Amino acid sequence: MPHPFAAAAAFSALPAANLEDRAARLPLGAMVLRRPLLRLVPGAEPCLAFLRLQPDMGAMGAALGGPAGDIARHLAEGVALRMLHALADPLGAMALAWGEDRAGVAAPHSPETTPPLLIDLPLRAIQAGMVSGAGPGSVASFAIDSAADPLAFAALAEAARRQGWAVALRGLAATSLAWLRPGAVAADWFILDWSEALCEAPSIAALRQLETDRLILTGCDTDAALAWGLGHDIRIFGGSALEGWAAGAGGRA
Amino acid sequence: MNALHNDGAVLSALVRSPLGTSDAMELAALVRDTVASGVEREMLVLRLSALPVGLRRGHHRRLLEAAWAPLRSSARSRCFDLPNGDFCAVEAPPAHLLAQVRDLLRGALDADAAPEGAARIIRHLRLPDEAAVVIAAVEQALGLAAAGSAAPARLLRTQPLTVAALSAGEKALATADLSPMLRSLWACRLDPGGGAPLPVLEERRIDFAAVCGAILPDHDPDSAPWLRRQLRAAVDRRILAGLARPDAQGELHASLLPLGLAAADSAEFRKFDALLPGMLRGRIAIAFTAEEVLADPDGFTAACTRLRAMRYRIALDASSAATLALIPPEAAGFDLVRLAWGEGLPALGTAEARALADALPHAADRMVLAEVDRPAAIAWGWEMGFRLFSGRLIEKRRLAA
Repeated sequence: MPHPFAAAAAFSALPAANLEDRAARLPLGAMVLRRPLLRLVPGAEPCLAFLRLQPDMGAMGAALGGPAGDIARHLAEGVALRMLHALADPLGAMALAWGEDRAGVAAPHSPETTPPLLIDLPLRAIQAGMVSGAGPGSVASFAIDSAADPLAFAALAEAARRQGWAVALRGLAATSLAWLRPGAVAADWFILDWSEALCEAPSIAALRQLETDRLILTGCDTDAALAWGLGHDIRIFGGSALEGWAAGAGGRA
Repeated sequence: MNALHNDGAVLSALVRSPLGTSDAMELAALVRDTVASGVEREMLVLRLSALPVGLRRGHHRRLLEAAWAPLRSSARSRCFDLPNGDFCAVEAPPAHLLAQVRDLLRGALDADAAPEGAARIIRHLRLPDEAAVVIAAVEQALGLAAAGSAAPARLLRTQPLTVAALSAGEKALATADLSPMLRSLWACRLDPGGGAPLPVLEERRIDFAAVCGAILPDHDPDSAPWLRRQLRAAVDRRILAGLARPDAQGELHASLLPLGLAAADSAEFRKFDALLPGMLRGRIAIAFTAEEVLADPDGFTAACTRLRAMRYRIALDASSAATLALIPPEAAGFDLVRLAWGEGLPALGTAEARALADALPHAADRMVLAEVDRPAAIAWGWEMGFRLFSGRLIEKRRLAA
C-alpha cells in the first residue's frame, strides 16, 4: 500500500513536542472516515449493513504536518480511542456517524438514529475498558496483528462481546491469505481487502475455511470485484464501485 | 518466574486475564491521579483471594457479596473488580458507607471464624498516603507481584509514552551501554538418553524491558504500541551496529538474531551482512515475532525473499501454540520455529498437542523449545519432537558439562 505521507524526512526535522496534544485538539469529526458497507443480495434491494468509522490518516497527516509510519499509526490510535469515547454518548455517536454536515455518506437510515457501526480500533481499547453505548449490532474491528496469539485474542474478544460488541478481524488480503489460517481466530467477521490476486488458488483455499456470511469484502472499486465477491457468496461490500448503489439504497430507505 | 521481568511476559499476563484487567488499570490510574493532585480518597479492599478456600464459595461468598452490594449501587462510591477476584471500592471522605460496609464485613468474617483474621482480608486504606500499598495490591492482582521489589512503584511512576519522550529516548539510546542488557544463550541439542547438551545455535537477545527502564525510566512503553515498535527498531539497529565490527564478528557463531522487519532492512543490517565471514553465511537465522509479521505481511514476504537470497534462515518467534495454527510455519516460509515454553502449551496426548505437532516443522533441526526452566519442559519437548532446547536450565547444564 503506498503510504499517504511521503514527507517523513521533512517531518523528522520538526520539533515533535506535544504532537499528541495537537492531535487531541483536532476536531474529531474531521479526523474520521465514514464509509458505508452495503449488503448486496441478488434479487433484493441493497441496504446498509454497517457504517464503517476509521481514523482518517490523510486528514490527520495534513493537519499535523505529515507524521509517517509508526508515529502516524500511534496518533491514529489516539483518534480511534477518541471515537470510542464519543460513542459512549448517544448524541456523540450520532454526530460521529453522520458528521457535522452529514455529507460524505449516503443516508439510508433516518439521520435521527445511529446505524450499526463498524469501528476500527486498536486492541488496547479493550484493555482500556471499552465503553458500550454504540448501539445494537455494533462491531469493533481489530487489525490482524492483534491476533498474533489467537488464544489471547479470543479472551479479549470475549471481553468485548460481554460489553455488547461483535468482533471483526481486519487486514486480510490475498498476499497474506496465501499462508495465513484466519480460521484460527475467533472473530465474528473477517474483513477482506479486494485485489485481483484473490482469484488465485491459495487465497480461495484459505477462504474456504471461513463462512462466507461472515466475510466483508472492502476496496471494491470495480464491478469485477463485486462480481467476484457475489460469485463467492459474499454479501457485504465496501468500496467506490458501490457509490451509485449507496445513493440508491439511501433513496429507498 | 524470571520471565516476568520481561515486559512481554507482563503484557501477556495482562492480555490473558481480561476479566477485571481494565478495572485494575483504571484503579491504578485513579491512584496515580490522587497522588498527582493530592485529592484524598478512602478505599476498602476485600481480599477474597486471601480467604480460606472454604469461605470463598457458597453461602459465605454470597454473604460477603451481599454486604458489599451497597457500595456497588451507591453513587458516592466506585467499585473495581480485580482479576484475582478481589474487590476494591473508593469513596470520597467522609466515607460513611465505606465504614459501614467495612464493619459489616468484619462482623461476617468474625462470625465465620476466618482463621486468618479479618484484618488481613479487609483493608481500609487512605489515598494518596497509602498509594504504594494499593498499587502493590493491584500488581499482585494482575500477577505482577513476582516482578520483584522494585515493582510496586512502577505503575505509580510511569507516564504514557509520547512522541516527544520517544525522541528523547532515542537520543539516550545513542549513548547508552547496552552490553549489560544483551543475553546470550545457547540452543543445545539434547537427545533422550543422550549425553551432555551440545551447543548448536547461539541466541542473542536484548532485554528490551531493561533497555526501556534505562533510557525511559518514567514512561510505560506498553501504553503506545507503535512508538514501542519504533523504539524496538532503534534498539535492533544499535545491536546490529555493534555486531558489524570485525572484533564482534570474530566472536559470532551460528546464531539466532531476533529482529524487527525494519531493522532487517536497515543500513546497519547491510553493513553487518557485508562484514559477515563466509563460514557463517547460511548459519544465521533472523527471528521475527508473529506480531511483526502480521503487522506488515507484504513487508514480511519481501524480507523473506531478500534475506533468503543473502542466505539467512528465517525463524518464527512464537510464544503460544495457537500462533502456529494462525501462521503455519512451513506454509509461511519459515525455516525454523522458536517456541517459548510456558504453562499455556497443550498437555501431551490432547487433541491440541496433536494439532501443535502437526503444525511444527517435521524436522528436529528446524524447531527450538526456548525458555526452558524446568525438566518437565524437556520431557514435554521430547514427546513433541523437539531436540533443540534453550533457556536457563539448558544453560546451567551446558556450563556444568
